[in-house]
Amino acid sequence: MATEYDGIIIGAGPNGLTVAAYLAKAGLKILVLEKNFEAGGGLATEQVTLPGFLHNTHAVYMPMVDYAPPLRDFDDYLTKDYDLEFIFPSLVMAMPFEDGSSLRLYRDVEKTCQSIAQFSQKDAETYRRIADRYRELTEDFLGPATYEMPKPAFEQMITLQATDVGREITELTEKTPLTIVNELFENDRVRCLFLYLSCMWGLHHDLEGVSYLVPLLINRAVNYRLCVGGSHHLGHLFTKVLYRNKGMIISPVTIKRIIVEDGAARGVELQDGTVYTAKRFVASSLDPYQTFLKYVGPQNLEDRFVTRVNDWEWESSSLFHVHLALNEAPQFAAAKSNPDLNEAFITVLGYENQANLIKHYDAIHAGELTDAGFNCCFPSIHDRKQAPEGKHTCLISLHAPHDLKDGGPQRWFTIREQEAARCIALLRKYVPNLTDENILWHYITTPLDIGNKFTDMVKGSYKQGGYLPLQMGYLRPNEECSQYATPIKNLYVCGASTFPGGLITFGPGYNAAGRIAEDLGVERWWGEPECVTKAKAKGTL
Amino acid sequence: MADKTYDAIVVGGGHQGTIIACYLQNAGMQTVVYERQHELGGGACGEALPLPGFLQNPCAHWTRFYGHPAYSDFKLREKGLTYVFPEHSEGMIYDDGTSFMGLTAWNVVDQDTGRSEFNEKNAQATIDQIAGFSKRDADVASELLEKYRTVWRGAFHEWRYNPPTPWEVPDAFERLFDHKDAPIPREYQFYTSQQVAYDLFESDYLRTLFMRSCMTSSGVFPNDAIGVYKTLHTLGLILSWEPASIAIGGTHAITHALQRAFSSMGGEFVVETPVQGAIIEDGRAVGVRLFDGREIAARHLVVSDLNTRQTIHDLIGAEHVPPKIAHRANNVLKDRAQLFWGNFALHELPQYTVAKDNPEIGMCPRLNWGPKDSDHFATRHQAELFVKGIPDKLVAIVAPDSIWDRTRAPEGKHTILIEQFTAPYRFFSDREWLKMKRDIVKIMLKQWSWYAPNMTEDNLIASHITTPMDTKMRNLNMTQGGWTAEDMIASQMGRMRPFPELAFYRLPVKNIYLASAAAHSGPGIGRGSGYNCFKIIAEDFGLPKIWEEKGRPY
Repeated sequence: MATEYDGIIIGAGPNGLTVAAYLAKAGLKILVLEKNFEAGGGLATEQVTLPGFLHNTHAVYMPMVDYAPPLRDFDDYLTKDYDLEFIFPSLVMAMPFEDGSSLRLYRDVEKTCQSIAQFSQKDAETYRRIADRYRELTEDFLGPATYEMPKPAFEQMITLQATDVGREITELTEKTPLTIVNELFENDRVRCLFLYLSCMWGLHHDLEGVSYLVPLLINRAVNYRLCVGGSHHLGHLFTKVLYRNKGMIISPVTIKRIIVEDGAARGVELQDGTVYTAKRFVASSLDPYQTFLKYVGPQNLEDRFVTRVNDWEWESSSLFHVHLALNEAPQFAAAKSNPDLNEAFITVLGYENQANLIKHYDAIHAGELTDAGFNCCFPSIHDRKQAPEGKHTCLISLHAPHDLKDGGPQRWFTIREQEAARCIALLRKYVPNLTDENILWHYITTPLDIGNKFTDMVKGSYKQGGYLPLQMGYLRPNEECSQYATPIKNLYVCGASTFPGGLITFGPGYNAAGRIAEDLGVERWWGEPECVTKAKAKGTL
Repeated sequence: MADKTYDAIVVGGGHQGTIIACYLQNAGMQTVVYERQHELGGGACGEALPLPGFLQNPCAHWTRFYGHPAYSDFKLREKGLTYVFPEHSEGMIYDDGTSFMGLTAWNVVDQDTGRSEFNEKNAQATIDQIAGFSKRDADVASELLEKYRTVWRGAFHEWRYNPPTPWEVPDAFERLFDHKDAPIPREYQFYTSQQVAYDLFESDYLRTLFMRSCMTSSGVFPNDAIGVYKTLHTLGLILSWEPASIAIGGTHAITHALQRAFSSMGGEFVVETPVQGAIIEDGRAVGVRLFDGREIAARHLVVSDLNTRQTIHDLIGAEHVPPKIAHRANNVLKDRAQLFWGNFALHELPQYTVAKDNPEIGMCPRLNWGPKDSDHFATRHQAELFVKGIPDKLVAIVAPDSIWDRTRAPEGKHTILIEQFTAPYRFFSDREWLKMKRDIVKIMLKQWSWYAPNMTEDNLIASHITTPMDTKMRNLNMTQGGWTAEDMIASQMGRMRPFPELAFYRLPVKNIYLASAAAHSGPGIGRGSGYNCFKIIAEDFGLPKIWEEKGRPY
């Protein structure tokens, strides 16, 4: 039985697959072990309402894909041999209001400015300025930095202080997202949209220290895209790249332990007793708690390190999703004043002002459910492959707490239908043709379900852990592991709990692959990303 | 000029498509599979239903793929396909508060090869249960077991994993008509399921269960002729001869293992890419045209994993085949095996009241429940299904998967599959099916609670029931929403599947073959059509014969 490999990777999510693909192509014999029956992790597309309706049950928008080096390094496979394609809806985000007006964020800066100008001429000017400036910050530092090893805080500070781009990023970092947005914009509704945008992926609106993500998120929003055929298609193609390079994925498997002998990782043992030996390395894309405490075991670690792992904080905000199979396309009421609304990629609704939004965030942190708004998306409008002819899919995405103040997380099992009904009723206010007749079927995902489905998303932490100052950059997941190596020899970490963090960035996997290749003395067949080279030349990185 | 060229093109990445793709690639043919859906596998599929963290088989469920030659030929266990084999097997709870439960007579002792050994104690336990309600039926069961053990069992692999024999050559079962120790009654070729049930057994217990299991395993109703193979196969189920094996991670794990074998040999598969039709030049298939306009050339052959009508009319085109074949391809019967089928996610397992007599009955991986009324089941049940969709009394089967496979539910929670037969898709409108998809849940729960009082709304986390409408939306070959796609009635089996002119995998156009469940040995995971079709191709193209290399008669 083939049980000996050069490298074993735990988890077949986007990061695990990235490490696997790079090192398999470098000639190593690679095995990926996955708990779920399907590979791809958050790159999941499933027929969970009615067959023929493809629902992206986790990742959808993939904001970093145009920077992500794996997409370029494997382009020969992904787009030439295979059929990777993205769709870029021109109206990225719309925020309709009860009075029939709407704010709209387009890929095209001028069109966005026109929309904002209907609320505030000054804010329109501001957006024109920051659209340009934030693109620069992203190109010169935030984008390329994603695909470089994180630097220790002091070293990072020195680099940043050397350029005006760096100094601006440092300044922004020290503010809260709320302060940044409110300093930029004067109109309440514009403030509301940009705060939503900044905090859409779980950034705390009133937290200092990680707001360098705000310009990145604002810049990236206009790069949101849809993978043709569903997000899983991208994951699927990465598995094909891996197979083409003689790699193997085995699922579903339940891991018992990472085998550690003489302080070094030697392989992985499954619950059923099967042992896979790793001659050169083991890489875990799981969260630090599982990697170290559950699978390595505290007996193999120093107490100080165990304490550090135990300090890891999960995210305080998770997601509640409702997927709909629709008989006909949505007709937004606000489309009367602007027909583009029916073609929007993401629609944020239920917020009339910034106070509504902040009330929602406060409720989440208190573990409460409120009459909150959410964002929704109708992928099949843009990609006809995602629903049967003439029919449509819808995704409602509500920020929600995992631990409910009354009843704890288990209460989600009993209130799921009720909360879904509330969301649908709210959506119907904006989309009157979303009648019971039009909704053929629905499927619900609660924050509790997220953790049940993906073991690395403990407490519904879809980024494997909070975006907190002490859990970012060089400190993600901690100073001993943020260079992807760990206190255990031959054991590496490569998941969303490492730098740069969660979402479909391919960053943790890409950086970890580089680190492992370097440590093993494997020839790096891939070059430095162009964006990194450029930024280095400018002195910004 | 073709956009791409392969040696062999498999049209449709269903279960049989994934099997034959492995054999072709292994035999040195550079093979590609084109699949319309976003995942391979056809009926061997899985979804996170009824809610995330739980796993459901929306189509195939009970499988014994460890018995298929591909399991060992491609070392699928090493590629992630693991089975568990519960001791408990078939059971039934009847409305009058009685029950019957069997224990597996053949335990699998070698996971890698699927080799099993006879377990005298378990076999006797099953017979003892029967003796509790009918001494006569217990004697019959003993007699049948002895014949199965010594003679009949050996015929299964040969029958499944070889092409059908011509009319004049008896097949593996037909040769047993005149067996001196264990003759199979010739009349069973023509008997209906009800006739066999009544002929063999006197008790309502086994008569009902036989007819229900015949439906479970092949979708045919009590008044359908079932043929010899189905008769013996169903006896194996109700008398718990063969283990009720469970694939860890559901039946889609079978697809992944096959796909990994295929990919690691260098095969290519392409999903979300439907094929428009075969390219036929001078009476031979030379490639396929995709819906996106691309043309893919086949150096040697094209294989169809589609149903008969799709193969003849959509893929080949009626103009390329004799009129009689085009006509017959439209008339293959498809009105069986329609189900309400899905999972209930539960806080706790059902606590059956009959557990006072049969403490472990809840462990049965195939547990039937319904009225102990064989006359009702043989006659009015089907009539009710066809007229109303949902019958007055369900005759259901449930499968508590999560007892055996902990990947199917979060810690402490459970998921149970439930099946109730219904009508062909066209009998009701989509709106009516959607209504029944909702309504059936309460009806199932109500009757289930008669047998297990804790089956209340409070115990139910969520449910998701697949209807014939869902089935035909998922797998286009299952036109009427039945999982067998084309009925497994005796007259559409073996050398008559799908009809005599197409029963031998070759088609009227050269270099194009029928590998799907439309051909012998029919639908169901682990059946032989893909493998058998490969045997014919190996013959035609002089490919290595793996079965000869391995020295096996199938």
